[in-house]
Amino acid sequence: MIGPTATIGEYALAGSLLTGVAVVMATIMQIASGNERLARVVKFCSVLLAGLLTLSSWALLTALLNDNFTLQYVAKHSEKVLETGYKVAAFWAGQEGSLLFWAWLLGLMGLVMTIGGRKADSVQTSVALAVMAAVTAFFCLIMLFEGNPFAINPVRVADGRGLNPLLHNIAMVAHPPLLFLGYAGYTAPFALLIGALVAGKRNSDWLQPARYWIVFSWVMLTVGIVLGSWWAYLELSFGGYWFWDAVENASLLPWFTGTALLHSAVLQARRGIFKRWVATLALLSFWLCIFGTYLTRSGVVQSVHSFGESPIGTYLLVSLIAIALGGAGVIAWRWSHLRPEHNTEELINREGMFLAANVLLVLMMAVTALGTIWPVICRILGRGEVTLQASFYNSVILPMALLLCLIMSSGPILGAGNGALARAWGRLTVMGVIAALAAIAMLVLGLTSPWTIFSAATVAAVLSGVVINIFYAIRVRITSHQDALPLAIVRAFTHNSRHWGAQLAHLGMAAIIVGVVGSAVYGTLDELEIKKGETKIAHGYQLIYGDLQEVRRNNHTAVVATLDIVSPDGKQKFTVKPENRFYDKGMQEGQSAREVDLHMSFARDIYTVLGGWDNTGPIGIAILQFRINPLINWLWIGGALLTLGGLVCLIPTRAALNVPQHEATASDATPARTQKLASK
Amino acid sequence: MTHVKTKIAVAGLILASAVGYLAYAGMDKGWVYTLSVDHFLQKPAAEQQRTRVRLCGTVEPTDFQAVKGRLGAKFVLKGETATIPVSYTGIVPEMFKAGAEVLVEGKRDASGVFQSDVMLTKCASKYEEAPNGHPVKTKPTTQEAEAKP
Repeated sequence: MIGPTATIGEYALAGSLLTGVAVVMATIMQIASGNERLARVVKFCSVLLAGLLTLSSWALLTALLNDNFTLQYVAKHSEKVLETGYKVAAFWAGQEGSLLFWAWLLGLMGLVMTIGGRKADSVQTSVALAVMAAVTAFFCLIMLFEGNPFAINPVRVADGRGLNPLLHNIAMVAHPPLLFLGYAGYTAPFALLIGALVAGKRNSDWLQPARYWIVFSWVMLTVGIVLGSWWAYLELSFGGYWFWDAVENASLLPWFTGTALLHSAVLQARRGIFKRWVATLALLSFWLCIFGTYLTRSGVVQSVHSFGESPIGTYLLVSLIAIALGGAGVIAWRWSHLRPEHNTEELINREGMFLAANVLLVLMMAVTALGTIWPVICRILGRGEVTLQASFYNSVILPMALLLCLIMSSGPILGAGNGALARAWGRLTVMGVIAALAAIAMLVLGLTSPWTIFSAATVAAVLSGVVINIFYAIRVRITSHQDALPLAIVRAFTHNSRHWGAQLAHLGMAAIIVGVVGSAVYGTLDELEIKKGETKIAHGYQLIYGDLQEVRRNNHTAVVATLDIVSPDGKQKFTVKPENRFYDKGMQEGQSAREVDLHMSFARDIYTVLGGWDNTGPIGIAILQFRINPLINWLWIGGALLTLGGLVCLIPTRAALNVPQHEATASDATPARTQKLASK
Repeated sequence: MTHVKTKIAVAGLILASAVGYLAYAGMDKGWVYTLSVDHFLQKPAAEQQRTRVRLCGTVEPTDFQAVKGRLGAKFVLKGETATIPVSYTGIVPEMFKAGAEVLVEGKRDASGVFQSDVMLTKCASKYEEAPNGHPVKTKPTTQEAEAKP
């Protein structure tokens, strides 16, 4: 018995494909005939598309929640005893379901754009909606022909195979949908750009809604990436959080260009410059989201993450070529419309720093992309199977990231336009001195690794840059608005929230540098055999192995080791209980999931893994992995700050509500205005 | 204006060249070949001892020394026809057993034993599909785990 919901879901999917095609056809006819009434058809069909995909998604979700194992997808990714939350997560846990989820998000975003585009030019809106509908229809096409989530299971089964035990983690429930939100979100600015270009618009009005999509997608991608790393750190028991795996890299590529797009869009909106950067980066970010999906799902790159070889790779490859040619074609056609409204006459000013950051981010993307596809290039060239190690990325990306942070810290200090360097010279000198002092402090403390010294200088530059920004923003409020100090402090932060959101994100980057460099340079690893009741010393820590217990839980049996740990100074005593879980389903016989146990602090994590044991003899022996990961929690704090900064940037500002810029931004006008005021 | 454009072009070129050099230098020492046992043994002895590689093969049932609850293992890795003795240090993956397909990373010592500190219990090209594209749990490479900059 297939059940009516699955049939509804499949028909709704087919209907979505036809509706998507209808949106594109109606738009073409609208442009060809100039018939404005067709815009209504486009909007109606876009709403219908969202409705049909919601219906289809509801059908799959219902099948998962009702244990409808007649569907192959449900049997493969769920089981009766699975908790409800994980049954919902199974929606995006497999190839077919994740494609439907992505298409659904695109449909909903199309709906939001339909509502948001009520007042915009009709051709512009129709074209933007047609791009969204075309991408959505493309996903429906793939599902209907190559990955149908409503396919019937050829074998009758009483229960499903269940969700991979490694995915039984809250971070893993949230990580995929957030990444999909980011990936889907980057379609919207691309669609709005194409809409504006096809409609022949020369102004930057399209950026008003697009900026929200750009920031939203960036935030989602950021949280998704950070949660994925956190999950890897907690669940994969490797002690690391990022392995430069092809699929991890795939999510990082649009993040690099998305970050550049985020910054370029600010300059286009404010000063009418960087238009060509914005257009190119919008295309590139969207293209890289599909490219990442191609890497993940085509089997072209060997990855421990990948979905395995799949025929959808061909579809994605064709779409990549089509998007590149189509997108680049439209941008080239309207290249003259993207001419900057102002010319830059100097390099060392805020625009120059934005430009340098853009170039650097694009280069970081290019290096990561090259490293990711390098094994494929080697295979094609007949050089055999090659794996590019983490050391490659670390030696290339980390110096670039440090340089980027330096640019990032000086950008907000420098003002816009000519003479910025001269005006900000004093502040830059203060920043430079603080950075140099931080580097010297590291040397004095005996921390002589070049990574530590450069990172300390960079982090100090970022922190001092933010403090200087705050100081001048308050000063501007006092001098130009005659605010009393307490009011000036409040208003300095409440006016121009986007500026402070960006500063928060910059602090997040500095925290990430602390976490990455601290854990990588000073992390330790010991693998040891330890007998019951025995005490071993590892890097000054006393490890006392207490006991091994077998515990039966809902869907697994756990072997739990108890380890008492005493810190080198004897002041801290704590117990960790790493365990191995033997799940009833979802793993091969004899295979278990190692559950890490941590003792966390701002200074370091004590990371323990139970690697094996022997309880057969008179004395029990355990194999333990004991890691000290210094400063690693600053990585997660940095991720949280980045996210928070992005969310603050989503709050509509007075500037966004067309309040004149000088009224809305105190800190933004800081250097030039303060100079002027000081000279009065 | 042209003057500024020239400056931008020069700055961009310098930046791109620096990154290109970093990438070239990083790539020079940052890669590792995955070879079959037979292919590896065809290489000159000096190269076998000098270059770190990943070897893929099957664990022979003979000369298999791995004790439960102990670190490390000694075994013979078989390719299509050739074999090589392997000495592995570190936590033994739980799916490791005689007849298992494994990938070991390291290099050969002067006595002809392949000294490895990294072991994966399946060859990289033979991973099963994992739900949601997430990995089947295996031990990572030391380089990955350490990830020193």
